[in-house]
Amino acid sequence: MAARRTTEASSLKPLKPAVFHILLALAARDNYGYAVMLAVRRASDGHVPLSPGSFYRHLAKLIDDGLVVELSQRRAGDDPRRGAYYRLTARGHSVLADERRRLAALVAAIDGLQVAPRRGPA
Amino acid sequence: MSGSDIPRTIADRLYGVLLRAYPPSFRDRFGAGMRYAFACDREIARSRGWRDYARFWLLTIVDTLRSGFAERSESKPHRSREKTPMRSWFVVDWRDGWRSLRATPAISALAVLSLGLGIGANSALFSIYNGLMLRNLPVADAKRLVLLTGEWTNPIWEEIRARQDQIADGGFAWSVERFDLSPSGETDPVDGIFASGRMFEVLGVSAIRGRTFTSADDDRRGGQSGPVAVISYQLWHQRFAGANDVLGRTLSVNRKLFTIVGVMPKGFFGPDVGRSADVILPLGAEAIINGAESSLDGRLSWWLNIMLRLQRDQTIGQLTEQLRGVQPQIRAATLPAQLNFDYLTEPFELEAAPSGRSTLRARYEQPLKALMAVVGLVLLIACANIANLLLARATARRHELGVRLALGASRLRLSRQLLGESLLLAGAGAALGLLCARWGSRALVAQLSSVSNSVFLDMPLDWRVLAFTMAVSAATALLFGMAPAMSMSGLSPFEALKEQGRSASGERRGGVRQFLVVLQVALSLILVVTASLFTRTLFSLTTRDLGFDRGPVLLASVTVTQPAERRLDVFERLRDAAAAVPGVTSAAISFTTPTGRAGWNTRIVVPPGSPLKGRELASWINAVSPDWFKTYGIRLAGGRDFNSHDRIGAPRVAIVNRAFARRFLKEGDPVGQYFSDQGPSGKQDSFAVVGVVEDSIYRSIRAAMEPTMFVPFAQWSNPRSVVSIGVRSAGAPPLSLTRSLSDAFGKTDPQASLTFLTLSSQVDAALTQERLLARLSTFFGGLALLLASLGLYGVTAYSVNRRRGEIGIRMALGANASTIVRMILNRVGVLVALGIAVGTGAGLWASRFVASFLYGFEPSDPGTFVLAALVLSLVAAAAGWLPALRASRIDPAEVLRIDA
Repeated sequence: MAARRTTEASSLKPLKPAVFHILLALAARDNYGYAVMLAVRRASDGHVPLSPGSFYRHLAKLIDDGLVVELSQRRAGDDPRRGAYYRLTARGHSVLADERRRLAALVAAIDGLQVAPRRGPA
Repeated sequence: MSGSDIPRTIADRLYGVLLRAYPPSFRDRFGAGMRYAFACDREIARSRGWRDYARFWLLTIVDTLRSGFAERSESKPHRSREKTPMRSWFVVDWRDGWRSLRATPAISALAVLSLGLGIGANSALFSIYNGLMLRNLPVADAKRLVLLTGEWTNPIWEEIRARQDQIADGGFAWSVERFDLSPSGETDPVDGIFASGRMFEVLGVSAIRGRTFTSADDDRRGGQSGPVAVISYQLWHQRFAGANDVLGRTLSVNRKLFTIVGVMPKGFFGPDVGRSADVILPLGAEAIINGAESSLDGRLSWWLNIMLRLQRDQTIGQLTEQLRGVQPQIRAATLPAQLNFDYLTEPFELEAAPSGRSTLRARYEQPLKALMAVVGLVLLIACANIANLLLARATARRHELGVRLALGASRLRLSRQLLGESLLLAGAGAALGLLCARWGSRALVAQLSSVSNSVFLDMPLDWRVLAFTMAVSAATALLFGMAPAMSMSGLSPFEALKEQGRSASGERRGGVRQFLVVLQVALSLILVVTASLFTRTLFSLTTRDLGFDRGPVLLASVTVTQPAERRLDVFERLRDAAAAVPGVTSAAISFTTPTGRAGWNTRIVVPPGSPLKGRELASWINAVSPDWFKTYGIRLAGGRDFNSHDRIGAPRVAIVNRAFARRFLKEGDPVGQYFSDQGPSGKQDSFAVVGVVEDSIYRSIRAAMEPTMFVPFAQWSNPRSVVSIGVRSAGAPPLSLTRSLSDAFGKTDPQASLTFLTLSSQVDAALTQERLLARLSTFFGGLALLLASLGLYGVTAYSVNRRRGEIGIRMALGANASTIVRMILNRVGVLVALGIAVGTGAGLWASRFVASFLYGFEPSDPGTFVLAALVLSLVAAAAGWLPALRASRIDPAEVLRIDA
């Protein structure tokens, strides 16, 4: 396998929206590629417009980084055309949890500053 | 790979090709899932209409190529390297190209627009060409269909039908018809066919509602379900609003009732390309519709087309052999009773007919090719324009590119970036072009339809059209992208940095630009010449003296149901009723009308030793009632008109035109002379000439005035069931008489079916092709002029800009404004003169190809060329004037200060 990109450092950086949504979709349940794509599109209200090409590139990186694994066994009675099923690893769960903490801290920081949006004449 | 069991469509295969952008290892891991996702997304996009579908494809192509090549560059050994801006040449090139196009949005938009128009026009004409000439019929295994050349009688078809399964894999006969769906009064014409029972089975098509008819329905009294009809998808939607209970409803066809038993699928238009079979009746129903006048037993009625299906592994040669083998038996079984000419002695000929039969093909093949050449030239001019534009930008960027070269970028990489720009432009142009093509091809085909002939052409965006558009776009990108990319090769970083954006050596590249302008002027000249040739042809045809008045005449085509012996009486009563309508000056009956579709000719008997032979012996013939010449405004030059005494039993008389008298009669007064004609059965009839009329057009507007004889309608022993009643209006527009005429006809004979048409629209319909050529070539000629003037303007403005310093010095040294203007315009003049010279040479050579479309003058007509050159010079002067004026307003002090 190619040299791993370290996730320790990058976990402090914000995740790309597409990556975040993919992790989120796989955290809900193991699934095959197209179902994950649909889940991402639905969850992001179409704001993350994933095409198969870019989706699988993201997935490849997540697998290389050890956040996602490909399941070797297929479910019984499954349509073989869908391709492989994928599962979030423990590491994937922890990166997602990190992201959650990061976002929560961000929200808390904004709330703390009380920068409520003001509209109209003061 | 697990995805191998997916049914592969063309789209899937195309995606497979796209996937090759990814490294093989990536494809092995994710290929199956990607294919699945693609197929699902494609289904969704397709169900949302073609706009979403097109967007989906564009997105898929861009996304797949982008991420594929990005993946490739990352999976190389240096994958772990930090991201650099030059991660992949491919991505960077696209991005840089996009950025530089965005930097000048107006120019880029203009370029995309002119490309879109150019590519769109080419694709539009190609899709018509494809629909008319190349596309297979949308039926099962169209490759095995063959057509029996010529038209055939029903007895011959019945003999072939009896042998169809021994010699071939089935066959069918059909005839092209125009049916009347109105139950009474004025007709409601639709296109349809009579088809033998097994047509649907042989073609391998089935109905989407109900059933098709079969041999059991093909009976002269109607089959078990009575008389049945199958209708097209279009008719189902237009006349029945797509109603679900359409099956079992009755349809009045030519005033007879038929039961609808089936609706054909959307893409099915019958065996004829260029028309749509909206109502399909069994061949046997011809006996129901035409009654005693049925052609089904006519051994001399040649009205059927016959198509056969080859057996598997049978060649067309083998089938021809077998058909010729049974020809003697077929001939013996169908020999007509009275026979004095060759009957079925020519051996049967078959032609491959995977794309069906079409009468439009022969008529429009040449005009289509001419128009494709025209739009090809327009695209070339657009290319030259864009090349000029990119070249100017590349020159302006010499400094930037020089810096990059000095910093170590390879020449190849810089050229690739410029080429990326061109490809982006061409891609956007192609996308726009496809939209234009879809709209344009439909608008064009709509132009082909005339009042008497509706043209229907199915033109889907199939792989041929897509491939053509892609090839044209790629070729254009290469054409206009090459010049700037090549200009990079001569660039030395040293010089470019020294130049600081203004240079003397830039003028060298100005040479290329000037060459492009000369090319544009030359090409535009050809197009302007073509346009004026076509327009003059149309003008001389529309203003030609046809020998009759087209303005005030309304034509009523009347079909009656009475048997032959009572028809004359009915027609005369209808004519009297029409003549009595207020606002009508006169009314007259005739077999055919001037420029009408029907023609009737005969052979005139000449004394032995006459120099006339072959086709020179033919004369047109028309059967007309009294007042016919007055109604149509054809002047009687001598003798008398027919009158009520010229009936059966009275001596046979004729009126001839001057051309007839010149060719067939003795010198002197034709009135009182006798002549004879000989019909197809060999019988000779003798006529006394009672009158002479001035020449008039019989059928073709392009033809010379041909010999024509007129016989009294009342002396025609066996009138057909359909005649034309011409009505001359006293002054009101003829169409305004329609209502009162149809009332008058309805009172006289409620059974008669009527179709109204003005004589002038019939004449116009005969000029459809000429009008189309003239309009389109004028449009494209204008477009070419516009593009060329833009090009000329650009080059002049650019050169003025570069010569600001020089002009400033000249002005400082005493040159006045008019000297400067003259200097600039002189330069323009030289370019234009060169272009006109080249264009005239090329135009003289090219105009031979359009000679057959012209009327009334030679293709090398000097007046046309002079006019075109004049128009071009004027446009060029206008295009050069603005920059010249700007040059004359240069303030020398300012220029010299900046340049110092």
